[in-house]
Amino acid sequence: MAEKRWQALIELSALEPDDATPVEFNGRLFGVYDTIDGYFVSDARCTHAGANLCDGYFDGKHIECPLHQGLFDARTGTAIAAPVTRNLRMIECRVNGDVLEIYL
Amino acid sequence: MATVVTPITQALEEGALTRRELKQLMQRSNGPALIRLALFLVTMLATGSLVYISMGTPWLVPAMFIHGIVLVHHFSLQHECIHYTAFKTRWLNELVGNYCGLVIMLPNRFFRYEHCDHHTYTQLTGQDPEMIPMPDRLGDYLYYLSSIPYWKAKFTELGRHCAGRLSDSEKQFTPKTEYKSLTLEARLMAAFYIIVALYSIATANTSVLWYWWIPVLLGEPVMRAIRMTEHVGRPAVYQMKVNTRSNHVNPLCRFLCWNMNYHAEHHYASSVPFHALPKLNKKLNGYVHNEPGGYLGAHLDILRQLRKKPHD
Repeated sequence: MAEKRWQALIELSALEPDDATPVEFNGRLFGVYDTIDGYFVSDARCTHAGANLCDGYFDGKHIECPLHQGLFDARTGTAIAAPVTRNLRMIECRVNGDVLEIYL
Repeated sequence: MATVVTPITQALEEGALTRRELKQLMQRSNGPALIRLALFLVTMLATGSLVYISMGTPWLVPAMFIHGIVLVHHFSLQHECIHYTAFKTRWLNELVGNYCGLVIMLPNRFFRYEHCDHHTYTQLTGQDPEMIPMPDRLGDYLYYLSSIPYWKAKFTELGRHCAGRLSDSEKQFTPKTEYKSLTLEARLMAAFYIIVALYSIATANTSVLWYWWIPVLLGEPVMRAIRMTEHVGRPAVYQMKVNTRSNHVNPLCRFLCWNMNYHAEHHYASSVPFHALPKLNKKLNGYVHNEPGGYLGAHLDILRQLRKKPHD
């Protein structure tokens, strides 16, 4: 298994401002959230039925699944409201210049 | 972990609308729902007054029927609430959804879970828990419209949940951690009805019959007829472009059903609130199945298909 390292995910200018952006990276789909507390990255698939969360409603803090309206805190990945019961897997991220990097 | 291509993801990929347009349409607000709720309650008060002034006259049954049509449309508001799209404030959706559920005997939390699978497996036989099958014969069609099978199912469901049991199919869509909360919800609902009934008997007050339950029973066939127009007669396939109908209906019907006549649009993007569905309908025009003849047109379509069905 390769050692974790910081890797460039996407340029900040390519992200939807104040919104969720789906980003495919090495065959995996991530959700990048431009929240009121900065950028956060998670697996983009809902832990309930696998829908792409980035197509859901985002209010700056929470991301809502587009299929069943389950709710997650986009900053911590915490599953907040039914039908989701399992937290999102968050990916550590940082801004380096004008690029968002993930530790993966 | 299974992944799904949701209808909205498919629509975005096929260019039916852009992500920016979708985000705009998904914006939530409390204002439109509060205004419509106030108008809805005033309408209910008005039709309830019709019942009051027609007491002791031959107009009582027609008045209760009209009042019942309004009452059963609590379903439409509850449906919007379980999607958390009626109000921006999530607890308002919970509060109003539970109120609606009490009016029409549909436990809110249970409905929320059941409805999830309806959206995941829309119109798939054996998987969609809310699927209304295409009737085989005219008798089956009329029997469904009578609401008898609906009420039988609802009473059985409530009794089962009060007893702390879920059916195998209900276990498919309910997380194990929620079994107890569905039992509690059913018991609280049953307790509420028992208290209302006991109070009515103790005070010899029959208002709940004339203003609530008889109208609901009289009005339910109208809701069954509306529910049939959403999917019945459409192909029983996964493809959302064809398995759901949007019905073009008059403004009064749109008001009562909280724009849920735009049903195909709702299934495409269930995060879009009711007040933005007409805009989404314009945007997805030609992409989803529209029935220009409205509820009547949908039923004529169902009856046409019924006539062509082989009966042996």
